Amino acid sequence: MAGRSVDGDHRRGRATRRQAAIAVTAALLLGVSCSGSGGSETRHDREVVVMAASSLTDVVEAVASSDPNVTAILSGSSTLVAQLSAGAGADVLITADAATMDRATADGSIRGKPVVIATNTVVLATAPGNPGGVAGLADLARRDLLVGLCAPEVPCGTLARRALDEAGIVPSVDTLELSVRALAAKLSLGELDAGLVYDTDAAVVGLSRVDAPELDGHANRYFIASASAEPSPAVQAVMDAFTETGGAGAEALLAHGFGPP
Amino acid sequence: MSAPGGARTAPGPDPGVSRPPAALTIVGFVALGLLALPIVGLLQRAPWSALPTVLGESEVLEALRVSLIVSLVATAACVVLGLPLAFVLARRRLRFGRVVRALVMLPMVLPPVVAGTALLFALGRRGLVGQWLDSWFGVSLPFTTAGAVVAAAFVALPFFVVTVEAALRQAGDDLDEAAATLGAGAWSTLLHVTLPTIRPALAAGTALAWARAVGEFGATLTFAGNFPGRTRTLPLETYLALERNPEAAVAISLVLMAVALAVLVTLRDRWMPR
Repeated sequence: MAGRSVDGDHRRGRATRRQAAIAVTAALLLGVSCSGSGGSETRHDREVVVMAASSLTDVVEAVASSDPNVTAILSGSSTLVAQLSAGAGADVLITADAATMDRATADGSIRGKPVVIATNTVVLATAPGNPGGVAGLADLARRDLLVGLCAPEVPCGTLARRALDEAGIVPSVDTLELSVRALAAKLSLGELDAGLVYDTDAAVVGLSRVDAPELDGHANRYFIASASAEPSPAVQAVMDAFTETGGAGAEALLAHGFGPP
Repeated sequence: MSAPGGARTAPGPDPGVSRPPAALTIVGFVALGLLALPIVGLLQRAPWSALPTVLGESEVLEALRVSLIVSLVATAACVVLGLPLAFVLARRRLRFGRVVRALVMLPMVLPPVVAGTALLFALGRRGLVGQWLDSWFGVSLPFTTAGAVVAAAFVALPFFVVTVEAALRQAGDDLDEAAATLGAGAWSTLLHVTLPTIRPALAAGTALAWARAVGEFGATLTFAGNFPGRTRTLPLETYLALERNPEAAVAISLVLMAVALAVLVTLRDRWMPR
């Protein structure tokens, strides 16, 4: 009898625990979906949501880790602009080129004045150890290599295309990745032989580089702007951190190898 | 061949005797609204008059071509591989049956981008199996149409297997045994008795798997990449179009929704027994 009742308790305990686990999972899912969609009203007053181009991942995360009020959303610039225009709540937008920032100001989702905070260049990067024997930019036309570029919709793709056009190289592309980080990751995994990524991303992921003089002089500029024309003090403070010399954002940009504006 | 819904044999109180509390009904309708709202949103933004032009754009047609090839080949793979698997699950006593069944259903609940990542580490050029495919046969799946097929088949396979397995269990093996008693061989029984019995489920499973394959996005993007004419399917085109030309994104979404609806309406009698 005693054994049976213990067994019963045990089973009931297990059932309760399972119910609790389901409840917790459901609560988490709800929490995630709510904060993901439109939690801007319930947000903490001092929270500053920064949308930034994915090449700035480490920079913005460095800023966010030193300032708990900063929440970072990182994606390809064009995706961010599309999300903003669809009503995603963000206080600050940092894009990797003028074209994407222009789109955000044109449709009114960004009302602050854009300021250049950094520059970056693209480099010819290869899989670790350069198994494809890539020797120069012209090798991107080799059909035996798996070549990746950023999609033309994102700034690194625009930049890469412009540089290749100018060099008169028609690359044999196998994939157009939607963010520079996705491209860098596939290079570092060795799934692609060569690709054009930002200098800074090649450094972060530890990609091998090949000299490509044709890429010299091709740089993109990062623009920052606040969503509101009259940003709150908290938002202005985050902006200043990027625009003013010695600010946390400006320092992080330099530390991660970005060029000065 | 009646639809084996099985709803009427469900345990519990008779349906229709007690009405649910009013609050429950209200929340129920709120949930219904939540499901219907995005569809209404899409419809009210639909560029009806421009639809033929938008859908006739070369990018869209190219993505349509890739989508059709990828989804049809993936569905064929699901049938060829899924049918034997469904038989194994339904007719054999497996030692780790629960684990195996969970494994089969995993792609249904897995975030597709996780599926793509897993595929990359398994079948990528440097992956567990992929490195041998590459060095022995010179086959590299990522960034190819074949890779997109693998991604689509991976996520679609469980839909076929689960549907067919359920039908096999429901049909039981009495008829098969009767056929065997009458002297039919194993293959003959399979072809002339078992498969005809579960024909509705075969159709439903195929249609569901196809619908899932058409809609595949995350695993495709992660594993097969994105290149027009090769791996850029309609869902990828929708995503890109949203940033370039939202009208086109709405138009393609409408087509994909119509396809999904058509599949559901065709299967209605099976999946929504009244």
